[in-house]
Amino acid sequence: MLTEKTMEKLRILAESAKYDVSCSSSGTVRGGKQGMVGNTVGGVGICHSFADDGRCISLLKVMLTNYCMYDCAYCVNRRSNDIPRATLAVHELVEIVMEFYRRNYIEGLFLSSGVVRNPDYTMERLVAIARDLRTVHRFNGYIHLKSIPGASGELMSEAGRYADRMSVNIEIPKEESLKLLAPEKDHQSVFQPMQFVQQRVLENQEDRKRLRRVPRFVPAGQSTQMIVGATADTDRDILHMSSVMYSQPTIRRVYYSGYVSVNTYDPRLPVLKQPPLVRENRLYQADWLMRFYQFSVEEIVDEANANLDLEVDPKLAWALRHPEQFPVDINRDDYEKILRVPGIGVKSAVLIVNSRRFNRITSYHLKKMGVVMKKAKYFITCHELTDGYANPIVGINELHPERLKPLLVSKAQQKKAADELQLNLNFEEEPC
Amino acid sequence: MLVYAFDRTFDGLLSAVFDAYSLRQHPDMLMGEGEPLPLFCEEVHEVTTADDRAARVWAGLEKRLSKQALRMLMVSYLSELPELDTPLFQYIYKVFQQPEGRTSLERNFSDADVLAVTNIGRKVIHEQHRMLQFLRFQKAKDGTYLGVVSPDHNVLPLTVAHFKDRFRDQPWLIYDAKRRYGFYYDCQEVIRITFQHEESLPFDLDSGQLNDEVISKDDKLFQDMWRTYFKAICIRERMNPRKQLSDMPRRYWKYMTEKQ
Repeated sequence: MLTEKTMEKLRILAESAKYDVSCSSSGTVRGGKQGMVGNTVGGVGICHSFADDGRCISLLKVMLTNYCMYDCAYCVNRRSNDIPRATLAVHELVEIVMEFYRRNYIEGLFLSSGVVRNPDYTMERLVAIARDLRTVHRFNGYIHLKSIPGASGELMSEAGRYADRMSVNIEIPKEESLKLLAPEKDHQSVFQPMQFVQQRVLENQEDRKRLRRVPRFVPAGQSTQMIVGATADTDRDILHMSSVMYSQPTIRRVYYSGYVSVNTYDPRLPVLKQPPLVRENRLYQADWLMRFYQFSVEEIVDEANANLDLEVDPKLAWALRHPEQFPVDINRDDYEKILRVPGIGVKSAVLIVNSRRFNRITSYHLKKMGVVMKKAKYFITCHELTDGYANPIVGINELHPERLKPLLVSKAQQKKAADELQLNLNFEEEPC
Repeated sequence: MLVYAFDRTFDGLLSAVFDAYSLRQHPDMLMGEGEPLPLFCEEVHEVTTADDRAARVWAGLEKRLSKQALRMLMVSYLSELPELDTPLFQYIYKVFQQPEGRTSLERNFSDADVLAVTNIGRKVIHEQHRMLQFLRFQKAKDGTYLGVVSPDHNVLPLTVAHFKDRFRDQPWLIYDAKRRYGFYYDCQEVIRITFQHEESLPFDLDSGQLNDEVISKDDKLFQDMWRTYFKAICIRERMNPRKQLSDMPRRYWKYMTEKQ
């Protein structure tokens, strides 16, 4: 029987867990089973609510305990912080998950934990929750577990049998920056559990080819997260790390978390009035370009542009740097080229290549299909804009990128970007 | 201008297509019976709904369209939007103008009618997904879980399979407060229900809350717990009510525990 006390614990532990941005319940389809409750739907997953900060609530994101033996500068739960601490008992958490799930509040559990005593002890308790949910309460919904670096192979293997997804956070893309903020950690300690899970997933896939009834191991793969703006690392460093991650067969998502100044007293950290939200947004857009738009990381950020332009999105920024690629002929060019036009997304690109087999696509059709013509009109041709001198073509090559850019950036966007750059200046002045 | 008037059922719409071909006419517009006629309307034909004719048209569609396209027709009809009638009719009419066998008309999104039907269908599917997201159950004393919704489109039938698969070991009732009907699952099968006497409803139609005498004893605790969690998970430095509203429009808040 749960009481008000449990509610207070839940509040404390949710507050501690909220800076981890991973939320998705995607990546695996598993229908309901006889005698069990729950299923997973795959696709984009289901977000059950949206908090006042606009972030989705899909899984019950909570820590088992926020006591921690580490002292990482960027973390709200570092041992030197004076914050309320709590630990949930196994039966308490399990009951909350089941009751929330049955009321359609959540898709499942995202369980993380501070490291107490030693990694094995902590991992053991995470596994105990997952085991209890799956075997005693017959829970068939989504479970996302954190891999605790340094935990033993047996525990990790058991965790993987119950979990849909496992994750371990890189947090800082460059090792020297990580060493500065978290001297007790290094990249190896993150990659090692990641590698271990990957190895087991691949083995499991081989086994399942031979024997179909072998239970699946971490079917939704792994994810990871990087903090943005806590160190001097550039977007190029971050995106290169993401690109390496996506080249791994089991890494499904990399999340970017704009640093929220939680430990303002630490001189190693920048003091930010506002988390770098625009930059975080641009990183996600770049991430999407790599995953769905067939961009390579060097096309998005290179030596000359190590940081993303905050005023325009990375796809538009690429287009402005490469006027020679345009105009794209909507009726002739390949799907891949159409996908690269600013203002055309995956959905409209698919509609275009499907429809142009029937008749010539004009700008009227494009508008109806949902293309953002305000942007796209400078980068495309449908062979209808040339009606003599009265209506000359105005495209990127006629206008030149430097004159086109101001036309595509709104005042509000400019202001937002400028505000954030100002904060960055504060950061530069900070003595390190 | 030639106008067909029908009873706004799906069978009625299919019968209208049958009539158009048997009378060798091509109506410009399809509209519900009793609706005010448009200007310049020269002739009105009243469509009589006939199941056998509708079935023949549907069988013809099955021969010519893919499963996904057929589903899109059904789904778009659930939108209950009056502006769908004419495009949906024209779409089906055009399918039969094509030679028998698979037609690729369904993929021609530069056709205004196909695009209109597809876009409305997408809207309906979007709202169906929102029901899976935002429906909230409360537990009654007898163990039945109740969820009340009032969607813009008639999407409840599309959500039943999901809830049946997910909550297979708990009896539940989902109720559409706008259209006054619901689906009840008794751990065996799902049946469509309506209440004969509104005043005997065990819950409040405006808030979706179960009455005090039937709500289970710890349900309030879990509701409070969920509200506490909802508040705790928000990062105050990142407040973004606009994003929240665009993903979770205010019209759904009425029945959502965390926003009550």
